[in-house]
Amino acid sequence: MLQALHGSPPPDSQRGLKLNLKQQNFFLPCICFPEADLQIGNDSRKQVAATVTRKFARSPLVVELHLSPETDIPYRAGQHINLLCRIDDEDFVRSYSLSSHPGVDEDLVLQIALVDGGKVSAWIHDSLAEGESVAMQMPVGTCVYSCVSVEQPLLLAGVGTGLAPLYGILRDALHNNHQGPIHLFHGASNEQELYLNREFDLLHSSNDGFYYHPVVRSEAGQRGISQKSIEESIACLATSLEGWQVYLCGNPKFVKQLQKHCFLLGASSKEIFCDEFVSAQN
Amino acid sequence: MSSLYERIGGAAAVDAAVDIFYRKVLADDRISDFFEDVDMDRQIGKQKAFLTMAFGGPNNYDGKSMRDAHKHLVARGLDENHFDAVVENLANTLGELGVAAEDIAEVGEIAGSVRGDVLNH
Ligand code: HEM
Repeated sequence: MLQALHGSPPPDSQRGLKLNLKQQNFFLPCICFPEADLQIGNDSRKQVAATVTRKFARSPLVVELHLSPETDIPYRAGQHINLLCRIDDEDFVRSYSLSSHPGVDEDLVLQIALVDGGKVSAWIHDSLAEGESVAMQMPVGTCVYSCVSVEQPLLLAGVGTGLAPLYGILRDALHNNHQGPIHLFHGASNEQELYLNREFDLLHSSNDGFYYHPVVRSEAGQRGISQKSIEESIACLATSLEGWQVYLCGNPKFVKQLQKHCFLLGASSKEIFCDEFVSAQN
Repeated sequence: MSSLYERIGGAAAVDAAVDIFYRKVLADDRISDFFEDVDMDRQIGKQKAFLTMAFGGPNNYDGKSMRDAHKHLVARGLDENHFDAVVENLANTLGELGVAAEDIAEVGEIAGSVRGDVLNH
């Protein structure tokens, strides 16, 4: 699969692709017979320096980082970037989702969870300071607002900092004047980790069709939130997801199981968009 | 006379059938275990190959690769009953899509022709 940066690939070369990929001009080169000029390429490896303009705690576990890159960087809400850091003479690359919206936020915004034993997240939480510079790569990722009709109901669900890209996608939907209902589910280990609840309450009061559904773990001692509790909350909302668009972000297990669940409830496989956070070894 | 694949509707029919068929398979307790840990997006791609083949369309699979693709499932107990369940879900899918009974029967025959390979007999 390749992406056209300029020009549109012929529809036949996009046969069977998911809706979001089609809209972002991805195509299958093996069945592509261009009818006009197509420019293809990939600059995702390009590196730029960015200054930390702001850093603050969103919750006990999540820190928010605002980055101002040295050059203007085009991106879609919901994409992610690689940060390249050097800690104790060792190089690390970590992928973080953007929670910012290019039409609303001046800076790139990341929400970064402190990972148990995670060297990079600890370094970001404890050492990285406002005014310092970090290296990053260009934003990539296909889990972005991809509606054909603004009337379509949307389901957004994430656990932990899986909320970050969803916050961007949500505001992109509102920015595009989305008319259908939008339901956002956030699973967290406790109330304090529902780190955007105030923002969502505000968005709810200014947007008729937007609903925020916080879900916290019920049993004490259980680690993290299970997708089951989110499934139960979805069940209270709709018996069928036929015609819905679904956006899922978080750890792979959560995303895969909820993807299957939403598919069985009637969502089209082409309209379930997933962003899995794979955690690094250290 | 047009081919079975053309009568059913070709690539567009495969696209229409794949979600309905895979939803039935995942919801069928007799066989869903085999699909428990498979990645949905990748499997949907494979289901298209399955359907194209069953509809008598152009495909790149021969008996040997069918054998290889299902060997590890036979080791997990894949048998005649599972095979029949899959063919039944396929027939019901086509029925829902309004495919003629004779054509569904022909699809069943094509599927049946790879039974020995899939079950590694
Ligand atoms: C008419 C009979 C069948 C046909 C034509 C067929 C066709 C296929 C094809 C083309 C693939 C993809 C192979 C690849 O490229 O990796 C596949 C994979 C698979 N099939 Fe079948 N199949 C049949 C019966 C069954 C049955 C009865 C089951 C189980 C109940 C089954 C379960 C699977 C699974 C789980 C995979 C994925 C294996 C993996 O990726 O680990 N199939 N099949």
